[in-house]
Amino acid sequence: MAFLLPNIYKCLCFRSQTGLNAVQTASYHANVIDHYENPRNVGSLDKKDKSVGTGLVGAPACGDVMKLQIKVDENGKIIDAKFKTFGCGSAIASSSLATEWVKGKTVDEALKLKNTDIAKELSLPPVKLHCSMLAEDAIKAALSDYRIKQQTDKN
Amino acid sequence: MSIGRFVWNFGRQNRFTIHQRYRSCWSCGKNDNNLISNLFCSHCKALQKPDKAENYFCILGVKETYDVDETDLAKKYKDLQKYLHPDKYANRDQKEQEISAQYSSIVNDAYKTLLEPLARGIYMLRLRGKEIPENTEADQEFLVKIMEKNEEVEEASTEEDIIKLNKENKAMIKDLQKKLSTAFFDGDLKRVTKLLTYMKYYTSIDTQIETAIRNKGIIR
Repeated sequence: MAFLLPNIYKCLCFRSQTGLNAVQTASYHANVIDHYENPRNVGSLDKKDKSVGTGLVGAPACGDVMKLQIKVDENGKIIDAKFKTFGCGSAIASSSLATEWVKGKTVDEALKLKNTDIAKELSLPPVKLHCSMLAEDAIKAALSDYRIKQQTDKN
Repeated sequence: MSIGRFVWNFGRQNRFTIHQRYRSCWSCGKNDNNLISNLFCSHCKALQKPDKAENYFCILGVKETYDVDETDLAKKYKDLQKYLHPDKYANRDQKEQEISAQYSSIVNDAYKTLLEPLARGIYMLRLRGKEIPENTEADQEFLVKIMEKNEEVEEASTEEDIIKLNKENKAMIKDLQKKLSTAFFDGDLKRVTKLLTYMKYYTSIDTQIETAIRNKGIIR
């Protein structure tokens, strides 16, 4: 009997788990919903600030726009990141996650961030992969804007 | 132009405009080149299958142009559904019921696509073998404008503000529609693609405005 009970329990649990998965495939992953409902780092930084890089990108296929800004200290470390996205839940979640991830990284480390990492963390379905791509491009654009600002400053 | 040539040309044009289907009926097997209402076999009166090769314009029987006449489109759609709706086939055999369900859903898709200016444009672009690119856009000046518009809509609090924004945005889409029509007429697909992506952004803003109108309970 002692052997049987946990097995019955496991069996029942497995059932309810598969049931749960079936629901989840039809909607967004919990991570997406979390970032969508409680987006991190929404807002703007001063565009004219020399230590701020701004990336503005858009997805022509879905009409989403995304603005991502980073603030870098004198050691090349990203100390703050903000975003503003008008688009679907996946695009908002992708940019929210991206700002969380780049914070505390150096400029070079942030450049290595890949959209596949974002997509994996959020379990984005194939049709929503371009949303994570948008976030990657926004980071790249912000970093390049920062670099250009720094170079013109030196000259 | 000689009269003979005129007649020949006229006949040729007609062959393109009057779209007639020629096939053998799935039910009675007879060849039929004179379908009733372009839908039913003239021998056994069975509903024929939709033609996969036909585009949405053909299916609804409207002229293939970006400037579709919306009233004509609606009329053709209703006329077709009068014949095709699955409710009319409740007492027919299974196969015909299936065809009616399939045909009527295609007609629904066709109507929805052709009625909406953006969807119609994207569909016509696809018919010409092109799609709106998936890559991210870098036309900064335009994106700044779109971002600002989005923010304006987000911040709009009074009813007047929202109504004003709605008016402006609708006018913008209308203007793009006119430009698209010219671009399609000229066969300038590059310009068509560009205009459609612009329209996509403004349509997104439109959706946002409509949500704001609903949430604020504004009655127009």
